Amino acid sequence: MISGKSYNRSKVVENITGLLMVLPTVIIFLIFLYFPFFNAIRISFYEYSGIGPIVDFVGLRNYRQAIVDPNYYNALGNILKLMVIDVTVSISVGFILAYILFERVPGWRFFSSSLFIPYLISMVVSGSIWTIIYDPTIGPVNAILKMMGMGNLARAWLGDPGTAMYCVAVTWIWRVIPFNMLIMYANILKMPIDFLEAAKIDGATLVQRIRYVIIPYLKPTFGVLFLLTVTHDFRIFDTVWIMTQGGPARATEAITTYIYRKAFQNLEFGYASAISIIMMIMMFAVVAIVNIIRDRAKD
Amino acid sequence: MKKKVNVLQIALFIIMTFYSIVSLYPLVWVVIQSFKTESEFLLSIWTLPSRMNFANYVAAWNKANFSIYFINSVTVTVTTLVLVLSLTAVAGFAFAKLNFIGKKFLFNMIIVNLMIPTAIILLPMFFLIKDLGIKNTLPALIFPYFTGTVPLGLIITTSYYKGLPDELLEAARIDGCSFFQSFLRIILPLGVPIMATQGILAGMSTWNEYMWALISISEKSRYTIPVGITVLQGARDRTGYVVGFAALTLSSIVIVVLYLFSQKFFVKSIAAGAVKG
Repeated sequence: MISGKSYNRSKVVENITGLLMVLPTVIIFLIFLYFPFFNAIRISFYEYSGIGPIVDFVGLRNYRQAIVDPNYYNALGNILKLMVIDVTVSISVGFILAYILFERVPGWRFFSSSLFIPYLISMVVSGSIWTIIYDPTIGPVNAILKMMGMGNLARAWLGDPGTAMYCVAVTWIWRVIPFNMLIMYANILKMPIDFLEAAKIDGATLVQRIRYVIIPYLKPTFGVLFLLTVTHDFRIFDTVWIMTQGGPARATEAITTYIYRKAFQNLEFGYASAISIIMMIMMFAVVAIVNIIRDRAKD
Repeated sequence: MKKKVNVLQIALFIIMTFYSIVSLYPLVWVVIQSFKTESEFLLSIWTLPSRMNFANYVAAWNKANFSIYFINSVTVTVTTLVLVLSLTAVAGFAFAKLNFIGKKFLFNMIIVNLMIPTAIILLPMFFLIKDLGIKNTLPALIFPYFTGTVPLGLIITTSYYKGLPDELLEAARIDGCSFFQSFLRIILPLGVPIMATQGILAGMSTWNEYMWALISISEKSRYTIPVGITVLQGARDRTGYVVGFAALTLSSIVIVVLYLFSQKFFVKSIAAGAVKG
């Protein structure tokens, strides 16, 4: 394009220049992404304890084992629980906050900038903070319950299999709500202002305006956020590992923590690789389904 | 009519204030505790510190090795950013403005990593860095962080360079600039905003990364902040809660301060990253 179109020689130069410019990046990707990636597929067909050469070929055994592994389904169930909570709560709360900012409530500048801070903080830090907040002896949650005379509700939140997953989900959602808010706010601002003006003149109430003007306008944004949320939830690791390490009694086990445990604690690298590949296939499937639905919705 | 709007505004304001308190109080609480002495903290978790007491910060920094983790994190993040930004600028420009064999294939080969969960790569990567003899070294972290952050950056960089008019380069060529001169003198300076955007996205994820650092670094003197934090939380019986609070505050302060100084840009960058991803 830039070296002129008329000379053959410059075409050769352009080819070489282009390839040389992308070569360093491509080489790093070959070594640090593609080599390990294909190796993961290979290892998944072997039994491998992590030491020495990879020789014990077992065919599809790891995969057959995975599809009947109750612990795997338990992890999947926990992730699904997280997804349901995350999609409903974080997207709707994010939307409400975005709308409130859009309405320019007093102090909206302050709110919009300060509310974003939880998203910037690492999951390790936020996980540590919330672990202390849920702490049965020094944690504010139990202290507040006791102050309000509901001390009988106080418990070891993260130590109780019945509540642990919800506590992890709260931490997780607390962090992503500002992100969802930001994305939706940015998109509401792009809305042609006469849309709303027209609705106002027609006498639409607040609820009607939100329901018939803003939400339909934001449909593509909801689609993007849904996809981001779901794929993000699949990958949850830091928050779970910091807060509960997947416990108690596997109540908060995520797919990634299960992979980590199988590989680095049980030294079943072949099996762990098989699970990770199944996880990737499931993610691809979810993304494909969501995209098909989105394409249908567009027609 | 006017009055109705005001009632609505007040209702919305109350909702917003309530959410802000719930959302930000945990952070404020941690910062407040970090200035207390251990006995003050254990006495009551609601009181303010009797005086601004920086002893916990000093203890976290010196005794709890936080200075080492901090330097490690800075080193890892800076080298990753240098590598990511320079190679992405070069490759992004080639993908945007040059025609060469296999262009589309190579581009897709890089960006497809957005779809591959890190969990898959972790195990074989662990063997790879062992075989390469780079376990516990800087390259063991920066190359995987490179492949993790380049795809998104490459998408936004390439589309940015595509938007630059061809005439610009044509004019530079006519004025006698060689290809590399025009790249260095014209393209790179124009690309600074997009590099800053990419820098924020890549810098944040590198600074905060935990999973791979946990697996690949086993020597304490090489820990980055996220791994170091977990060590500190684990050693609470010995160091006390309040030192832990100081460490949590210290590890977040860099990003929060950066954010407060360049808010608009931060927010724009993160939004750009989300939409393209």
